Amino acid sequence: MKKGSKIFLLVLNLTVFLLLFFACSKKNFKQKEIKIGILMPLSGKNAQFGIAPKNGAKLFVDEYNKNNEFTGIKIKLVIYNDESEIDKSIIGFNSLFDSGVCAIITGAESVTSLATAPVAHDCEMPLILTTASAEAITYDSKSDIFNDNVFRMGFIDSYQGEKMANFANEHLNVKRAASFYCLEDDYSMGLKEAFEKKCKQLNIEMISQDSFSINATDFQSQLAKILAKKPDVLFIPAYYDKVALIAPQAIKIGIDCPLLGCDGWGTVTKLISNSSFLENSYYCSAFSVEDDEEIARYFSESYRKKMNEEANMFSASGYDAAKVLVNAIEKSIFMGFLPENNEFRKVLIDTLKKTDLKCVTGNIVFDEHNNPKKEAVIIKITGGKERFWGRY
Amino acid sequence: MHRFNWLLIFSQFINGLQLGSIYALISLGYSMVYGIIMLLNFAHGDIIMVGGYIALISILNRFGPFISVFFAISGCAVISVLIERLAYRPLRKASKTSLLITAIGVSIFLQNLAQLIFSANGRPFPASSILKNNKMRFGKINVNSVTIITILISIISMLLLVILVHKTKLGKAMRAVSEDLESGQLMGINIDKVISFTFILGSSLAGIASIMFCCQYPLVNPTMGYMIGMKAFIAAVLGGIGSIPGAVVGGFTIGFVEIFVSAIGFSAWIDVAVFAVLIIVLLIRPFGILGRRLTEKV
Repeated sequence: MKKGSKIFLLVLNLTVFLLLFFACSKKNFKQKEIKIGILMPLSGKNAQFGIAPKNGAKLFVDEYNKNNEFTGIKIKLVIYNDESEIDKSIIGFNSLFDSGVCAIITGAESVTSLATAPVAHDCEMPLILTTASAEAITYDSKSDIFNDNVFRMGFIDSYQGEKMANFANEHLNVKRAASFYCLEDDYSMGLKEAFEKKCKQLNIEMISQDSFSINATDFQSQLAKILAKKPDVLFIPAYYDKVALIAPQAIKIGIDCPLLGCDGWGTVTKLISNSSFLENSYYCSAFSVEDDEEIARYFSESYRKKMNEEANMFSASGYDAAKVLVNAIEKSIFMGFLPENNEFRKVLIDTLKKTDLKCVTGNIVFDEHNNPKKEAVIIKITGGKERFWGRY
Repeated sequence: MHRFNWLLIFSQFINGLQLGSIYALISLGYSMVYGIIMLLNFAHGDIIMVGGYIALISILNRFGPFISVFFAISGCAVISVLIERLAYRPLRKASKTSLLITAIGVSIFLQNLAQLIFSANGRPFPASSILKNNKMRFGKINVNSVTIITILISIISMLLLVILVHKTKLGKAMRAVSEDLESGQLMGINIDKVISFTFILGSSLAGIASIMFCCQYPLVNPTMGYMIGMKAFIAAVLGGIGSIPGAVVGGFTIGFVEIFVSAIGFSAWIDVAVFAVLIIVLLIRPFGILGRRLTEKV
């Protein structure tokens, strides 16, 4: 047994004893199942963003239930598939609400979360977003609407766009940048705007801004235009399935500058026909299996063992979401609030706000708009693999 | 003002040709089937997806490029003949609406079947094991071999189709049936055979298109056929549904419109432009560019 897992077990044991102590001290608290909802796309075009965090959350909950028999807290996951559709995510939210969950882990995508967040706000249902990155889900600066029940594990769009602009400036010495984005996607637009704004500040010239349609498979026409402008770097804020189509066409047309991406790129090398098309490209992410932090390593190993596949950013944020949530549920119960009561969700929101927890994707502390303050992981694609470049 | 960039315009022209030739190949299938049994075969787009998956599986099982392509094309043909036998033939006497709805049903069935077998996630298509992409230079112009091969193969297939329809007995039968199904039957034409043959022809072309499509855009997923099928259908209607040259003209028109619209920087408006062209053409010529009410329809 490794030293790391020993420490972990020790910590777990300690928690168990503490919990036991608290559980005994509360007379009226009977063993009770506490339901957590999961609202994710488990099929359809963006299934990968939903299945992985669901597995991550399941891994945490299984571990927790197994090591936590005496406290009386048993977590049960109620899972609903929203199929990446806005209407289905609202239906799913209502059905989870009716089934009596005390919080929902959701937010695989911005589009569906933008729809569910206000609904959840009205009935004070805590939402934990895994990777949805549109700023307005938590706080919309344009309308000054703050959904204080929504907490985020991942980065907001502007954070990623700025990060990549800074990275291009500092490490790639870029003078002329181009962006290629999807006009119909809030995520893509948000990143592109932040990237451009930051580039302007850093004196990087934006020489070309081209867009593509969300259903497009052919990008040669726009890429030919980008090639003619000869950029030092091409920023493509898009999801992995689009990148798997754009990158081969970019290479074919003759674009040989590095491509920059965002967390939507995760696991792109699995989907691209030839991963050398992405050689020397960078994207930012929340997690890498090669991260050498103790807690990240433990997670990668147990995920591999349980799920028979490599962990990724999505499963890590699902795991973290469950961890943060369960931690807050525990605390609220120990403060004497009963999960049966309607006010429990309100208490849970207040407890979540005070989270300070070491998690797989970094130390989670929420800022005034419920966005996490943590570093990003930069991934570089070399030798056809997505390698950990460093925290940045 | 932008400097006029002839190189860029030429490469956009090649891109338009390539996209258009794929659309043309697929819209031929729509057009021929419509010409024969007046059916808008919406499952035709999903045949592309079937071809893509068959090619993918064959390559992953190390069948080599030629056999894989053969499997894909013949697989498409077999499946569409099966669809015709099982779904369309029993409804031949039914109303056209029932037939149309059946076609939509078959399309949904194929998409969901593929999701069941191959999961909803896309799979990378090993394009380089079918067509190696080499850069070719003509003076200052860079052209890809895949693009050139796509255009050439499409044109050759279309020429073969024209020869088949105009010079062979089966082709003659097809033209006769499309002119008047009942009279053709009275003249001793075996309708079932002709219809099956039409489906085989159309879906083989779709199989070829599917290989071309996957080599250009190396990602296979269960819903890939929907949008491209839709565009090809528009191409068929635009060119005059039922007319072979019409389908080709329609396909290239749609390809060029798409490339042109994104070249001038309105890529988000591609679909708008395509449908706008369709509406304008149909307003001026309700039967499409080359469609005529009483011409040969095959």
